[in-house]
Amino acid sequence: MGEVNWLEKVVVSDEALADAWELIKGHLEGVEEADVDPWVEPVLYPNLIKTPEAGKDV
Amino acid sequence: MSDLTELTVTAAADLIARKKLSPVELVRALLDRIERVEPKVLAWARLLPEAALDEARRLESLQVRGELCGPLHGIPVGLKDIIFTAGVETAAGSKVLAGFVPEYDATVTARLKAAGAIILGKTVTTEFAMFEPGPTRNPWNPEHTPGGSSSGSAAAVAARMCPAAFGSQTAGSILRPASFCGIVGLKPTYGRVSRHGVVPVSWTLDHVGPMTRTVADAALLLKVVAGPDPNDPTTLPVPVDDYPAAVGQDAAGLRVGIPDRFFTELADDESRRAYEAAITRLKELGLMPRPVRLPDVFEPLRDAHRTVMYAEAATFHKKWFAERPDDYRPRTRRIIQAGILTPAPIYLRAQQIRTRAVRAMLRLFEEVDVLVTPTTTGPAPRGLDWTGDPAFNQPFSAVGFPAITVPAGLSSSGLPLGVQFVARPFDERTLIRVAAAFEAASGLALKPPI
Repeated sequence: MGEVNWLEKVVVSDEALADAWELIKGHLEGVEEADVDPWVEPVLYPNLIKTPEAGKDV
Repeated sequence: MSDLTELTVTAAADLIARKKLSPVELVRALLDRIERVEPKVLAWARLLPEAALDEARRLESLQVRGELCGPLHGIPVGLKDIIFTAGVETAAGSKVLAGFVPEYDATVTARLKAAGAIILGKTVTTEFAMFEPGPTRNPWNPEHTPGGSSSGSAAAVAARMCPAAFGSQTAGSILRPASFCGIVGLKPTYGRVSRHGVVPVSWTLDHVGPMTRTVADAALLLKVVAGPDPNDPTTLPVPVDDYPAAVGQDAAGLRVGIPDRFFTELADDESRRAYEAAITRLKELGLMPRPVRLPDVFEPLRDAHRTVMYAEAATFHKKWFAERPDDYRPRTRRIIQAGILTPAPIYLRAQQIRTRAVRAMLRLFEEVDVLVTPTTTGPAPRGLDWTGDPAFNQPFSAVGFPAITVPAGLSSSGLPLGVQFVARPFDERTLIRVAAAFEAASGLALKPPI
């Protein structure tokens, strides 16, 4: 991981990093390959769901 | 009533309101049951017998004067050990938070107490509500997992150690253990119930909800805890419906979506048969099942869910993890490290996939009122080393739509199977209406042989 010092701060070994990479890499690839246009798709954060009532005080 | 431990929340609350049952009697009966059963189930991280009895006596004195705090006056509940309880240790099943005593109650805890509930204790969670199991066993068969991460809440309710408990769900942690233990579990809409004072796994995925033995009880508890909270800005000011009023309403004519793929492909034979029988029963009730095509984004949603969950968990744990890595168990450590390795552009793309999925699912719900699926791929797996597969619940955690599991029968090995209903955002009323109709028609009264 070279000069990425903050990874050193979380004291993970090369072996642990490799193991964690095994866990995540398929998911990262799945996300990368998904048919979603990054130009147009918003991220509605933190509220993923908005309803007509959501803007009103009740 | 000869056995007070069999009382549902609704029945006990009614008896207490009519002065036919004392909260002290009820707490004592449950503590006796816990003394007999808990050594076999190990559902509790921390019991509070003295505090519960003291509170029951206080509530009894109010009851005698005809003063009820609210709809849960004198009702004992369990809380997953990630939900803050002022003055009571909240360790989240971890070494890292062992000895941590919050100075304030979670909003859920405070609302339950204000409604008259008695906190009977803290229930076992997997480590930080992720994948390292606690000691809890399934009351139906101690060789099998109770599911997780809300393991203790599900097992305690099923084993009649308390009539209700609260759990949390990031992937499948309310519905899966509820189904494995033969009870009802309700995951509300994202933004319906406050997470203030709840140890997070992943703040855009976490939900808090009730685990009970009946749909009516889940409806009652949801009504008590739902609603906006200034301390949790993700909660929305959407009016809280009268959920208990939806129980018993005719569900005939409602449209039920049957997904075209995924669920029946992954479910085992027995789960599939229970699911098909459930669809037949819904037809008999006058509901209208119809096939629906899941959106294309449904499959990448699994990868998006995991990407977001791991990255957000790593964000929350990074400081503690840097200081005390050996205090984390291997699977939790692996998740945190996986989150650390996740590039920011991929995390954001995963959130875009979720946004796309929310919109696609909203379009799907223009065709139907609820979706129905099996709750899990099969009954509780043998062994206590893992808590089972959340695959059938995870998509609805990812989009934040409300979901409920209702018992649907027993497998040939004598373990419970469940059916999952899903509704539009903030339409818990329809969810409860359909679930209650199914529950009443199925006539199941599951009780573990313990």
